Amino acid sequence: MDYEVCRKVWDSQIAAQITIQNRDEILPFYTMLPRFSYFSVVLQDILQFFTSRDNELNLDGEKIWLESKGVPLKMYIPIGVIFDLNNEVEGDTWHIVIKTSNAPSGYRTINRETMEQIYLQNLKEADFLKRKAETIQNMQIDEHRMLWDSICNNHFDDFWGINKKLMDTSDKMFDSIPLRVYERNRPAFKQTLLNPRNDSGELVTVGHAICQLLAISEILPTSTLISHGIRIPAETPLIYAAKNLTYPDNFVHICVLKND
Amino acid sequence: MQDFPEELEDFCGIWKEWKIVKGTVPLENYGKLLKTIEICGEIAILEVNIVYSLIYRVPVLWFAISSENGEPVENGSVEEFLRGCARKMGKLVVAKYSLNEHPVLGLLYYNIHPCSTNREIFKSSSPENSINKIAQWLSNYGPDLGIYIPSGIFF
Amino acid sequence: MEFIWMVAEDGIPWRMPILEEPKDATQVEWEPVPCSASYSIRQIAASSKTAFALDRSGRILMLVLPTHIALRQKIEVYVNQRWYPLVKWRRPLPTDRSEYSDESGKLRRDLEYFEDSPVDGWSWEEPWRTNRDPRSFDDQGWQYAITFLGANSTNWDRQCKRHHFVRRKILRRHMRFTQHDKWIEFSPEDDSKMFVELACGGAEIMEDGEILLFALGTDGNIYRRAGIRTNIPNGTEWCQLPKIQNPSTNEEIDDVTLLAISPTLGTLICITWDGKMYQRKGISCAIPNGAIWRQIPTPKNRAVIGLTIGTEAIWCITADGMVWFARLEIDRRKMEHTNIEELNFQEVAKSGICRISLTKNDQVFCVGSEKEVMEVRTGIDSSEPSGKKFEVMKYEGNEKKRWISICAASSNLSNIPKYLLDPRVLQARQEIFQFKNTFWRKQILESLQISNDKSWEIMKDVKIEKISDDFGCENVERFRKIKAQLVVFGDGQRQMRSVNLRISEAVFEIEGERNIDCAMILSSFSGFQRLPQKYLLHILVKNEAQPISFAFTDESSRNSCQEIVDNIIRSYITTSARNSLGQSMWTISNSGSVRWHCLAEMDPKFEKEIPLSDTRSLTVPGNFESIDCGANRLVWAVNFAGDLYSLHPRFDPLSTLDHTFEYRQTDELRHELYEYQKSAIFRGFVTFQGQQKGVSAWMSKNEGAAPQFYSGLASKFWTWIDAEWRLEDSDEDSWEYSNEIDGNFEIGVGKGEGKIRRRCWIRRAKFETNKSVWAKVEGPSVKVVRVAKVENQNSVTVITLTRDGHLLLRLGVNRENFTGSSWSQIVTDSPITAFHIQKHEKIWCITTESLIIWKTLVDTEQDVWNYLDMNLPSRKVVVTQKDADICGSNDILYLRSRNVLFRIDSANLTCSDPYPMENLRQAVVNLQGQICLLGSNISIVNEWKVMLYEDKKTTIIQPRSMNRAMNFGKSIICIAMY
Repeated sequence: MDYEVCRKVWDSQIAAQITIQNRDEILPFYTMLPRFSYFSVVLQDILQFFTSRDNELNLDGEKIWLESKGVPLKMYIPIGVIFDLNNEVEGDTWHIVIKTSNAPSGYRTINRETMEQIYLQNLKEADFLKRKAETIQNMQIDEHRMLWDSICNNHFDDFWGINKKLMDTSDKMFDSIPLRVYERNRPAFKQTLLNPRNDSGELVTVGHAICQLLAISEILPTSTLISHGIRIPAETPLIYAAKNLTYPDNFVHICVLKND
Repeated sequence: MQDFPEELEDFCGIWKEWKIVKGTVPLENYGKLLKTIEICGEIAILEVNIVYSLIYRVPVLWFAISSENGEPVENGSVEEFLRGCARKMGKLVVAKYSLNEHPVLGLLYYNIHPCSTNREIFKSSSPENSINKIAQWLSNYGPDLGIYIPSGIFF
Repeated sequence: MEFIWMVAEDGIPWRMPILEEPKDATQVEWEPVPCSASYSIRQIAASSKTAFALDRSGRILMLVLPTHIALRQKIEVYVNQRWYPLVKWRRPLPTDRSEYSDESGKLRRDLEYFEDSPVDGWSWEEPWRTNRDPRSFDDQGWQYAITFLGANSTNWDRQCKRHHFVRRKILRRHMRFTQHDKWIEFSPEDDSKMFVELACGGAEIMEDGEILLFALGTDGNIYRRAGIRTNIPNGTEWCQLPKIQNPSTNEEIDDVTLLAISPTLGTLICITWDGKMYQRKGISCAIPNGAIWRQIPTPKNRAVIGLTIGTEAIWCITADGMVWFARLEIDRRKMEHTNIEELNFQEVAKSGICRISLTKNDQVFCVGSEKEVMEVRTGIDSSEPSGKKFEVMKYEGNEKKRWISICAASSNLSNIPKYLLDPRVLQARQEIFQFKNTFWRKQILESLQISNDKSWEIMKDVKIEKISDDFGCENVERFRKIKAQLVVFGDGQRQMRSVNLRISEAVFEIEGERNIDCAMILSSFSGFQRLPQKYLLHILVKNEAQPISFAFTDESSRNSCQEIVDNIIRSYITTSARNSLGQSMWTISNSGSVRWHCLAEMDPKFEKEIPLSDTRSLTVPGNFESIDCGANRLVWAVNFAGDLYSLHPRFDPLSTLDHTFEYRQTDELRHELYEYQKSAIFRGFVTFQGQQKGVSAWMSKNEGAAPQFYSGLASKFWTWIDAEWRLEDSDEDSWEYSNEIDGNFEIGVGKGEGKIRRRCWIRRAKFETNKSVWAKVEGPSVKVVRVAKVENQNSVTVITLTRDGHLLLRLGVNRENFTGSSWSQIVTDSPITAFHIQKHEKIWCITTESLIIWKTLVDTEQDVWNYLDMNLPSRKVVVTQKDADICGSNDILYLRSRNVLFRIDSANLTCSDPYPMENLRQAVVNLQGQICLLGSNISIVNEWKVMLYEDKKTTIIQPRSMNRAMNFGKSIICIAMY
């Protein structure tokens, strides 16, 4: 674990401005959203802020949905990934609207408990890729619970205390690397089996892995690889990203964006 | 399982209720079934997709249940439905499932956890074993969702 | 580098590097160190600098480990001439000394003898040079006298007068050892002696560079190699020890089979063929051959076949295979083992080990008897000195070989490193270090920082903008409440009063006492009081001479309070928008803590210099004894133990952002506690209560009254090394006596005389942190480091002065590579007391002989030193060795010797009268060339008034304008300025 990088990644936050649909008289809520968390986790606090300011306000956590720039925001993908995918890096806050109208079809609002299950399934999938799910199966249920709680409460040390078990390669290298790649024109991410080392035993870089995944021959200079709000150099070894540039679900989420 | 797209085509060719939905690449093709079901006396529509998972290298059942007007039903109803399916099989325990992002559609669907899928079926590729692999697999896992293969069409 | 040496069955020596914190497996790989094909080694004995290998044919080979400091020897030849009328200076008369001789004139030397390459392993550095020290020789290098007879060094004059008929000059040449890290023949001049056993040790009783090397000859005699020095690693000759005499028959015993010696003390034991043990008693630095042989009892009288001696432990193997352990007791004043004749051996194991060797700190390395693989004894520490069990070292190369000899005596290991037993440890570290310096990682880190900063910037702007629109939102004043005790001085006594502190961004309120405007707070520094034990925080406020002191009962409350105060200071410096190239000063207090002082602030557009007494400062984590800062904001420091550290360039005392650094900093301090007793009638000496003239019964050397055998330490970073206090001299007579409690104490004035007596107790403590912002730079023990104030192309010159007076230049230092890359020695003829780097071009030094020399820094290997010829007729500038500084700017040099300052103009060759200053302890110079003096106050002299005497050589100096800070000079031990 590269402490400096892991810490900075965890501490990355996005300045956001949240308003309520059709209620222009209500002043916006300015806050910093942690990149590693999920909307389904932070939504509760956001709503609480609004209702504490104005008791009359009635927002049903089950029915509202979130939208930014006309695009509905998925509540089960890490906040940082959503921002990177949908926004250019600007000098202004991320403007999010709480919508009370009917959600578009196929869109669901999910609460924390449901999110926990989704999180755990992703975590298991990541560990399955890395070492056939052995580590996660040997973990206790309260360790799973603790991981989730430390995400909800922003406890870096507690989180990594357990997470480092999932990142340990002192016995042997990972079988394959959990990587999900997002592109703007795709509804879903892409993932596949990726070996951390190539045939000659060298470490595969992030650039090569993405080429393999997207079935392209090379990363064009007009595309950038963005994760955690920064440009990831294509030469970064994949195994390094898998240990230090992941989100809490142990996946590396990278957005491939074309520069306009 | 490299031959998933071919097996899927065969499968849907035989069991016509399943439709193939094409993806951008052949491995993203998936089979789709719509079925009317009943949960606690209410009518609902079950949509089941058979999607290939590149990670687990087995097919995975993705499903969504909506009411007649298209609204997704609550978690409780889904749980109830699955319990019903399990009871029919004489099982006490419901199959492990959860919500997640559909690999092709990018929307939230439920899926039956593939981690315990027996991969034995897909290991053998001997020509003698000519029964459609998806059908074999579905015969084991379909009943979790109340899907039973009509007798005689595959074996 | 520390090594464990081993010999494999095939006769090839191997060595294993020992590192405390290896970065990866390659750093600790075992490597074979073969001799040439004709040798088959059977045993190795090693010290920390040299290894000796014994070949089966009886020859000894030597390997000198690489050193930063070159091994050099100086050869001097005197050229003598006599003056004859008409022919002038020619070779001397036959009755005089020979033309080329040694100093006394008795030994003849031939120059041809020295033409060829000197002894094996050595080469000449340069051709013959003449000694031209301007104090003793003229500019051709001659010195003159009336006659050779009876002439000693004071009769020789550098000026040739009419009555001088003889003259001489000194030719000098250096040879340098060049065959490091290779096996070379040990004593080529004496091929006849063959040996069967070697033992090497005694490092702590001998002078620096000397070791005790004993060897057992094929003739049955035991020999000691005399004349081993740092620069003569193979010594000069063999001395034979007298044979052991059988105590009953008085016959000489001829059949010694094994030698063993402690790596640290002078305990030599040999084993005879019948398994008996004999110690050579009386070995000391003055008598390295010892005095007499004594038989010592073996464990349960059994025959001993293997033996190893450590510092506090001795292990042996008896003929039945049993392994025994006994404790060794040490008299620290005499530096010898006291209980050899009454060793209490305990059984450790019934079998399993065939060879065994102890490190200097009593860790056991051995060879198992079954498979002959290398094993260690785990679990050895002060509570279990014989450890827990033998474990095979899990190293890949271990089990492939059979080992026949092992020597761990050159290693300081005090516990078995985890990586010897578990290879996974290294793998985990390797990952971290593998990528640390890659460009992509740096890019990622930088981008993360920028991105984070941007987000926060956005939020800050937004908040400022919008909140003003936000009515109904109160400006909640945030403040902290802390309980502490205020230290006040009343009636000459220190008293403490509980108070409540209420600290907000603008006001520091001591409830019921006073309010302090936060803009007036200049600095905070922590302290520690022993009696009663309290953690102190002193706060300096502008315009107040004395700091305001608070006491806390636990360290964390004191630390949180200090953090709050430092944050207040930080916010005031930042709001003044300090110029990043601004001047700064670094200081170290007498407790070792480091502070950074901001000397210039922007106000608001122009950089304004702040008067010294009004500067703000912030505490920087670390524990050091001296510090220097220079170009590119590089800062280097030296701790009390002599280790060198460099500050990470990304660390900014002004920034509170969490740059977590994970460097390890350590230090060691020896606590000294004096026990006083007064003599009372009829009762003799007893301890006393209360204080007399400020001295109480138990006094810490630096900190005043202390509890008896105190166990409190100044901060959580300190832990004790020694479990208990022990006497410095473990002797009954270690008391010092005096008639006055504050007078001079002398040892053993005679018991009965002197009304007061005292003795000194010692306990060592170590400082350790793993989150330091300082990175250690490996190298020899250092006294002082200097960083050039001006850059030199792409790097900054950093030079250190080692404890024994050698100068080392650190190459490759710049902001990207802030610890530099390698060392290069700046060779000098004599040890240096102090030095100064002028810009980046020249180095000025004072040697221990009070000579001022300088050279350019272009070519450090060449011996082109120039002397500063002051030509002072009567008065010489005498410089005390231990307490001197030299600094300067351009051609002006300032020399400080104790509390006196000299100003030397090297261009006009003038020297000032000594300028005394109270308590002057250090003089340094900043980039502008102003001198900063550390005395009871800290003063920066802006300008000197210099008046020239009539002789045009001496000047009187007076400071014309000074910038002085009265309030913090006393507790500072070192300053550095940029």
